[in-house]
Amino acid sequence: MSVKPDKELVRLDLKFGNIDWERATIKQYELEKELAIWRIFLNGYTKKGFVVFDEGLITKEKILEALAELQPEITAIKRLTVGELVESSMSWNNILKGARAG
Amino acid sequence: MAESVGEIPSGEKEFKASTRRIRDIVEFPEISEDEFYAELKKASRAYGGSLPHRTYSLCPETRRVVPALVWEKDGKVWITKKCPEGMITDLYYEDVDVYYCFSKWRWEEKELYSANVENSGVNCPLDCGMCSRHRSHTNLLNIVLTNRCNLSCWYCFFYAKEGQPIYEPTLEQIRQMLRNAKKQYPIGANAVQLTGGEPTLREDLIEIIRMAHEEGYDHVQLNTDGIKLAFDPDLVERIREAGTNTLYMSYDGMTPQTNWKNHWEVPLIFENVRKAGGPGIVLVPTTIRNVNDHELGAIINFSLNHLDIVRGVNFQPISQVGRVPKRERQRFRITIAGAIKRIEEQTNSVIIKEDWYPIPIAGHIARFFQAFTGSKYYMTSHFACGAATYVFLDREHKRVVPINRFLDVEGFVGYLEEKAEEIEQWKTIGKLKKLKLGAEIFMKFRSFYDDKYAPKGLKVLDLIKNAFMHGNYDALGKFHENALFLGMMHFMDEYNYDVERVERCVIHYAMPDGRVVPFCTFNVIPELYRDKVQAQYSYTWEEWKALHPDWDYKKDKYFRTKEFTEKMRNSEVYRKTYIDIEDYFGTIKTKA
Repeated sequence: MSVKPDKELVRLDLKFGNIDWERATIKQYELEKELAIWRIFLNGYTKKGFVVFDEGLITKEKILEALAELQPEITAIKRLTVGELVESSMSWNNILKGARAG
Repeated sequence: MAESVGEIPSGEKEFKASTRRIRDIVEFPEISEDEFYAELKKASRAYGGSLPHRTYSLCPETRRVVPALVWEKDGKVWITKKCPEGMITDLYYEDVDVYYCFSKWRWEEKELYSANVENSGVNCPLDCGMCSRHRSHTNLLNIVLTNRCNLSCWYCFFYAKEGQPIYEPTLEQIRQMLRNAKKQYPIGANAVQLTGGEPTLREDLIEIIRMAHEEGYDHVQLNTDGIKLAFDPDLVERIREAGTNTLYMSYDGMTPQTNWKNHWEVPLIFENVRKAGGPGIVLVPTTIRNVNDHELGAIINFSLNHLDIVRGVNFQPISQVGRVPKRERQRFRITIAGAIKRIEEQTNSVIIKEDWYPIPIAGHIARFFQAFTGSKYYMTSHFACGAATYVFLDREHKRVVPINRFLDVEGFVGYLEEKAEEIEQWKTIGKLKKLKLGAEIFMKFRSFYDDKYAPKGLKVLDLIKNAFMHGNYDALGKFHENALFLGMMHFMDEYNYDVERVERCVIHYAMPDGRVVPFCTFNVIPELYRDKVQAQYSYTWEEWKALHPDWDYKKDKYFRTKEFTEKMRNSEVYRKTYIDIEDYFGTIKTKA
């Protein structure tokens, strides 16, 4: 069945002990392919990142295992629904700071 | 001759037959790893910098983001990258002069200040959504209405085969996607393309077209193979009434072999559109070297013969998505510059390479209109992504006149930019000041315009006067009468992928998960975008059947019978469409 808006997802905020741009992009691509991963961003420069995933399809442990070589450390865990994720993505909720006057 | 008759058209036989003979091959130049790195060191980095130019690309095999070099050799532009499995080179532009000429019109300003994902874009093109790094707002929003299709194209991995999951967003999801792009800041999307699969298979299509207008979209186009429109005149009438502005219709060539998708149906589609009084048609030939690149001039001529309903031709040089061996890429690769050259050859030099302008020239014009009228719409794609021109038909003398034969386009656009700069300094622009300025522009326009070469019957000066002095821009719509828009849009693939082009992309896909994704990431990295998200939002075959008990997969499919093609071959409408037509360029060799 097409995804229901109340489907629950988990968000992990992370920091990394051993990461650079190249390895960040490689890992991001590897995980991003998975149907269970809804959003992912690994920043090799700020050494931070996050993963939003469907816990019913992949566990937190599996994700940390996949990221092991980047030495991940969880800084926050949050639960959200697909509906909330979609709403938070809408353009009107994301006007960039310092945006040029319209 | 091989033909899709007595079956669901797939094009496989026709493609095999038409590629048996190879007319020409693009020889890719060799570059060693040492040379590559040496060139990379000295390459320009800023957007539009001279060649060699450094950018990033994608490894077709590992999908790694890798440094790439855009460089010149023997008058052509190439893109080379160092992938984990070795050096890969492909053609970027067949003509370095066209590359530099287009680069002159690049647009460097960022025009999008909203985002849909938190990703910053440092991992571009893996961060799509739109991210904060993206530079252009959505000019054309694509919404995939279904992955059901009435054809079974042999190369398509996208349409739902029997038993496979079906993707079809709900009306609520479609509305949300429309709103999301409409609310981009500071400029929202204004044009939407409803695509598929085959969008005419959706029974609620009319409702969706109306919804797009309700959500404030001025331009709604339907990307279709046209098959259903050939046999259902009532549907044509209804989609026009609902507000479809354009049928963006696949049309790959002049024969049943080169245009196996709808050659036999096109005469009926045209008749139905004529009867319904619209929508206007834009023909879309996917352009492939050694397959249909010998018919580009004939396609333009064909369109000029049906100018009452055909508004334009938008050539799309092939995007060789997926793993494609080098030999095949050399056989089929053609770029915008190559297609322009073919058109010059095949129109007896009536339409030459100097007649074409890159898409971002529109950004320079938009700047003036923003200053003058406050309206904002910036078509600011990368200069290498697309090109366009207008040609006019002088029916009296049976001649075709490209716009810049009678209008100094570059001079006029340059002048508008100067004026924009001037207006931007003003604090306010009152009515009187605006009228005065409008009159000044109109007077100046005359110096860029040469009536002697203009096609007869085209009252350009009146149109311009109406626009600049009386603010009546609707009149500019008349410009399209007797005019044919010619466009080119080269979507990328893994081999010619240029990240700089992606971050300026203006043709986007809306996804039901809230993201908006550039065309060339959506389709080139489907495992992250198109296929993945559609899998998340798909119905299994069983779920779909349970929801639609009367639905039958086979009924979706189009079966072209031998009787039908025979009937069409001998029909008046076929003759009128393909055979009894004018040869405006005196070069047509291919007749159906």
